[in-house]
Amino acid sequence: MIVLEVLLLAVLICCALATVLGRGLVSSVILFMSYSAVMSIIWFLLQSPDLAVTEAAVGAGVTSLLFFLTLRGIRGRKRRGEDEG
Amino acid sequence: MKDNPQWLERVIQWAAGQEQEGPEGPEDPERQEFQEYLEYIDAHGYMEFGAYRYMRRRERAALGLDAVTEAIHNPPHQPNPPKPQHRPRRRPGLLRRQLWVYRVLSVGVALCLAVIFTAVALSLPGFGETDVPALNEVAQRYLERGMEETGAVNAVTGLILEYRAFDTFGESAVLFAAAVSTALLLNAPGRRLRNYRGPDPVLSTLGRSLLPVILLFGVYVVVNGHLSPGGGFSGGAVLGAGLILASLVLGEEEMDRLLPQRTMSRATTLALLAYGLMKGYSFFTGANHLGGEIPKGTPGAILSGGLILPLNLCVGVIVACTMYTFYTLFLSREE
Repeated sequence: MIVLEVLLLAVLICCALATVLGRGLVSSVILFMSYSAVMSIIWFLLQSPDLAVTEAAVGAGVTSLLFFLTLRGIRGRKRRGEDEG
Repeated sequence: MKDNPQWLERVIQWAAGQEQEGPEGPEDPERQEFQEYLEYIDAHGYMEFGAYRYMRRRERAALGLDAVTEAIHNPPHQPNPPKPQHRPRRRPGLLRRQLWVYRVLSVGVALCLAVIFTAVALSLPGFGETDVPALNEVAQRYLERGMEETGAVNAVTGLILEYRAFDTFGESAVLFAAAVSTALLLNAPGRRLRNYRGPDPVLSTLGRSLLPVILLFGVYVVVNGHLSPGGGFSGGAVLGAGLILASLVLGEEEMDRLLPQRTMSRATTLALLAYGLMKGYSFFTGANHLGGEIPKGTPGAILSGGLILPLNLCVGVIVACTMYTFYTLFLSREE
C-alpha cells in the first residue's frame, strides 16, 4: 500500500510540473485533469471519500471542460480576428 | 483643488450641490457643439457626428474663423519640414533587462514559497496521530455525539449540513451569485444553438450508455448524503457533469428542449429559497439544537437525519444547475 501511495505522489508531482512546464495549453489542461484524477485517488486513500468524489467531478470533470471551452473560444476569436484583419 | 482636471472639479461641484446654472453648462464648447448637432439633425435629418463636425469645420474655415483648427488639420506647406526625430532604440535592451529581473525575482519568490511550504509540511503532525491541537473537544463532540444529535451516519454531512449549515448556505449563495453574474455577463440575447453535428459514433454510443449510470450515481450520492460518503455538493457536481455529458451526446437543441435555461434558473432560485427557509426556520427555533422539532428518524434509514435529506437535495440542485449553466454560457460565447 505504501508503494502505491509513493507512486501516486510521484505521479502527482510529475503531473503538476508537467502542467506548468508543458508546451501546449491543451496538453496542460489534460495534464491538469490527470493531476485531479490522481489527487482524487489520494483523497480516497487518505480516508476522505467525500473529497474524492468532489475532486473527481469538479477537478477532473467540470473545471477541465470549462478550460477546454475557454480555449476553444479564444482560438475561434483569434481566427476570426485574423480573417478580418 | 487647483490641480484637479476640469471634469473632476465639476463632479466635486455637483456632489457639493453647487451645480452651475442652466441645464447644460454653456461654457462647455463640446457640449454646446453636440447640442447644435442634435438640433441640426432634428432639422435636416440624420448625419454622422463626425461628418457634422467636418462640415462645420469647413464652414468655419470658409468664413475665415477657426484658423487654429485649420492650421492643425491642413498645415501650410513648409519648404523644409523638420524630419521626425527618432529616439535611440534603447527599449529592447531595457525590456530584456526588465524581463531578466522579472524572471529572477519570480524564481526567487517561488523558491522562498517552496522553502516555507516544505518547512510547514515537515513540521505538520503525522497522519492519524492523536495528540494534535486540531483534535480538541469540538472534533470529539462531532464524532461522539454527531450521529445522535444530527441523525446522520455520515459524520461529514452531519457536520456540513447541521452544525455548520450556515456556512453551507453561504457557499450555495456564492455559487448562485457566480452563476447569476456569469449569466449577466455572457448571456447574449440572440445566441444560436449549434446543430447536433453527430460526432464519432463510438464516442456518442459510449456517452449514451454511460449517461444514465452517471446521472443515477449523482442522484444516489445526493440522496444518500447522510448515509454514505458524498452529499449535496459532490453529488451535484456529478449530476452537473452528467448534464454536460448529456448536452454533448444528445445535442444542445435537445437539451434546451428538455431543460431550458429558464427552468434551470428557476430551479436554482427555488432550491436556494427552500434552503434558506428550512434553515432559517431551524435557526429561528433555536440555534443550539438545530431543527429540534423535526424528527431525526433512525440513523441508517433513508428517511433520517431530520432536515439533512431535503437540504442535500437543495444543495445538489443548486450545484448541478450552476455547473450546467456555466457550461451552456461558455459554449454560447463561441458563436
